Amino acid sequence: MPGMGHGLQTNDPTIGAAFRTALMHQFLVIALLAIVLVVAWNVARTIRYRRSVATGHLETDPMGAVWAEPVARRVLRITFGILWLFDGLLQMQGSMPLGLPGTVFTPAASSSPGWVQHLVGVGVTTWSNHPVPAAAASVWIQIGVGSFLLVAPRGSWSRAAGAVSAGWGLVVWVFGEAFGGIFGHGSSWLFGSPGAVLFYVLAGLLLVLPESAWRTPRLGNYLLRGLGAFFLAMGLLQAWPGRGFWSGQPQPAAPVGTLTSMVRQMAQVPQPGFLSSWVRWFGSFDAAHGWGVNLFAVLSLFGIGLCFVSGRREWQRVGVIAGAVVGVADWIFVQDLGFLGGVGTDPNSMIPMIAVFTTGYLAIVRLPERAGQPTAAAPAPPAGEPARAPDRLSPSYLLRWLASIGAVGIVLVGAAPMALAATNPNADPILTEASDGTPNMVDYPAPRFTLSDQQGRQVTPESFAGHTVVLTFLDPVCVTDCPIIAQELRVADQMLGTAGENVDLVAVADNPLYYSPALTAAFDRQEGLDHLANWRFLTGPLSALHQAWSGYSVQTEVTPAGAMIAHSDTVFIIDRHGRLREILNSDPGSGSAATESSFSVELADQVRLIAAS
Amino acid sequence: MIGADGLPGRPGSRRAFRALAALASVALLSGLVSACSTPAANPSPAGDGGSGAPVPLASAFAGPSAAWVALAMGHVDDPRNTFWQLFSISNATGGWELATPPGVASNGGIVGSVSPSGSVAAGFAPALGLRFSPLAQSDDGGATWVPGVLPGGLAPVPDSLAISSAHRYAALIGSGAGGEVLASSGDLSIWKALALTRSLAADRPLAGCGIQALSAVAVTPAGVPVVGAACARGGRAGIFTERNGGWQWIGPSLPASVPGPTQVIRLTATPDGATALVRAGVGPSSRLFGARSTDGLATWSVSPPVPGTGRALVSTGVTTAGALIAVTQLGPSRSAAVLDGGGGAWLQLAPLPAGTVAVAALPGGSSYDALIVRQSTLDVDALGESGWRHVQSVDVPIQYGSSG
Repeated sequence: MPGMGHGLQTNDPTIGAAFRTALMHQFLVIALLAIVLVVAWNVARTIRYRRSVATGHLETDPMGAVWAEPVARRVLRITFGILWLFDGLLQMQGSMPLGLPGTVFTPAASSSPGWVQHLVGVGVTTWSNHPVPAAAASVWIQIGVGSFLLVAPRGSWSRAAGAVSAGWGLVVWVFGEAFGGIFGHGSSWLFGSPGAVLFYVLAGLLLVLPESAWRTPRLGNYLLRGLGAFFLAMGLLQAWPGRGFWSGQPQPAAPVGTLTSMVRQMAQVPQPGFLSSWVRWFGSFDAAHGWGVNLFAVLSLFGIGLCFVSGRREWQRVGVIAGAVVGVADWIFVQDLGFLGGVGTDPNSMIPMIAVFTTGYLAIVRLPERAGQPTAAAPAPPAGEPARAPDRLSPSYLLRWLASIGAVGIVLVGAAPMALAATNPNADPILTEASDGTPNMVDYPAPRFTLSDQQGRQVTPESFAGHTVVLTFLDPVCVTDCPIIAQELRVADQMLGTAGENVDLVAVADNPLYYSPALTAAFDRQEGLDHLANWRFLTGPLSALHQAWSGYSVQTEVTPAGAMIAHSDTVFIIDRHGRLREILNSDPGSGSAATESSFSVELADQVRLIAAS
Repeated sequence: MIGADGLPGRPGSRRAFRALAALASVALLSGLVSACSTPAANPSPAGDGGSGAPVPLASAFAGPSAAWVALAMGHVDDPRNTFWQLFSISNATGGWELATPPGVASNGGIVGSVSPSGSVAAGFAPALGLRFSPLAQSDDGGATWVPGVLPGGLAPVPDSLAISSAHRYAALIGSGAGGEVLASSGDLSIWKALALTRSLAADRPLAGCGIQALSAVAVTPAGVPVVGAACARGGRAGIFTERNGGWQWIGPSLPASVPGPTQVIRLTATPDGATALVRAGVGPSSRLFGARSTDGLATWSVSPPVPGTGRALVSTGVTTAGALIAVTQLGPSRSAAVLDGGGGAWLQLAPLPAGTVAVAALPGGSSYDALIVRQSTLDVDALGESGWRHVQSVDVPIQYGSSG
């Protein structure tokens, strides 16, 4: 019924099942890849063993000793590897395919300038059209990136892992976080500005840096000073008057401060009771002491920033400890851990930020031993002999090399189907199946009617002999569903292309009061259907219309008080022999452009099948 | 520079690092500036598009034996759940009854017109996915309706549809410079174009008006169309009629005390001429004048302005005899003024009950009802000697959610 339909809920079972199936299929591909790589590793080990036996001595594996990774880099790499893995697991939540665009992407950009909203809109459209491959891609790409970081500690593979991490992070930061909201209003370090994933990007870029960058304290100093400037800027932003952070809610009737409002919202997110009670407590505390809380936040940010920019190691250590303490407190009491509620995609900004500035500090205080200095486990080559290149068949090198290939494979397993889907501007038919159910297959002679088309010619089902007919019932003065259904039919006709040469689109007037040819003609003009050669909007005497409605079991009801006619939203497909073959529920409900496109795809697919049968 | 590893530092890397840092600083700064700025104010929800100030669509109109009102009900802050209703009261029924023509969603608004013989025409303003206007016409006081259709969407003004006793119709479709006047002589599905806003604006006899938009239409008992307009130039009401194959400017001059543009808000044909409500000036200093012609549109008498300044117009009404009703608001209080004759003074009615949307003159013009909307309920207060008193409540079976 127009206006009585249903939209897709984020936990729609059809989409949920398709999502789980896609994940399972991709997991099987990944498992197959893992088996191949394990076999390859064993083959390589066998070759190495036989070579050793042939040369008469078993070589030790020199790789681990020579290739010691700087502590700071290792902390950064492993932390963000684990974070990406965790984010990938969060992406497996069932509400991700339908929930992310409406509850995360679009709201993130809502206060940003038009160009940001437009850019994010491109991502939202792509995701909304292909929710299952998009959500599955996010899972595997993030698990793949995390795995890549964890298994590739040094060398070009490790730097490549950093590049992939930075690249994917940038995609997420732009399309998923709308640039972390830095171009919007009301952003704050407390809430996660400038975006959690920006720290992932920064970490990825640091891992891309050449090995030599980690051998001196210069990188750590640059990093901490840069972060110090960032903290000072965030402190300035936090202190800026008129943004609502200096007020809590001193009286119940007073306006709610920005932080109090945010914390109260977070407390409503589904989560364990003890967490929500903590967050609620902090909301009440901020409501009563908003000015003091913001003063503490501002002083903390300025203090941490000044420690970092001081360049003095002891102050930097204080900044790291203070930053970690304040960050964890904010993560719990303000950001509410970030990943709860069903559509949480990451643990928000505090953990990655703490990881980055800790890395900066470690890069100053825990420098690696000088390169080239021989270790006990790895004796220097004899004088006059060039240093040996890494043995590419050594077990540890080979294992990491193959594991890196496997991680890249995981990324590709996720990315490839999504890339393929993104090239298709039309939405996946699964959306229509989720909202309207699958088509009802039937096979009986199409019920008779005798009506007239726009030119006054008499039309019966026999008039379409040899043609496949897409038949629907439309109210010419409908304000919601009927214009949408008409456009869905028009788009489906376009999709059919040459396959639609013998397809007729037919509508029957479905209003017992407004059904004259003048009204159907007005509807045709409104929808741009008056120039479509295979479009016919049929009407006739009320008795003939009643016969048609009855024959196709179309319910039509006049409702009072300015409501439009309530009628069934159904599309019938009649084959070229005049037999009714399929009945589709065409109620667009409170759907979106994606569900409309999806219906057109579904309809075109079904018509193509029936026309070819 | 010598690096700590004993190797010369690479200037290219440092330059790149500094460039990256500079870029990050610029991005951060621009973000800060953006984050500190005040959000842009939302655009006005009712812009006039250069075609005169918005005109409230809620209206009252009357025939010889029945009075009608068109007003918005339901959740009026939600376009999909705002449903305009048509109510009527006749000598026969004695109370207000729901008379909304069935079969069309009324989310966009209803405009109505009644002829001196009592025939009534109603049109549905476009809304949501509907971009043309279905029509309905009744000769039996709204008991049965004959459907019709316009090729475009009715202009969102109270007098965009007019009917004469001889079942001649005029309609104003489109808005601003894209407006168009159509005429029909019986069949509500067959219309012919009478004039375009652009063509009237270019018409030499009307050039002094500086037509911005057409804002009302009427049909005289002889079937002659009369058009009201918003004029950029002040001093005279933009009322035109077709005579001798061309358009003539017949609107009256307005008092020189209110400079600025003029806009015809109501224009209704009467058996002996026409009555019009005209706004002069812009913003809080604008004033409303009544104009009345009782000699077949040859001459007009113009009233003093509606009492009070800075008042917002809430709704308008026209009585059987051609009297004008203006409901205005200043702060929370609403008041109604009635103008019986063009040259007379406005009669201020008793302070209106809270929430009054429209005031209608009962058939015969002897008394007035205040119509108050509470979502699905219409409350009616009648004006008596001791002020307004509640006389009726009408519960309207609004189908919430039926328009999506």
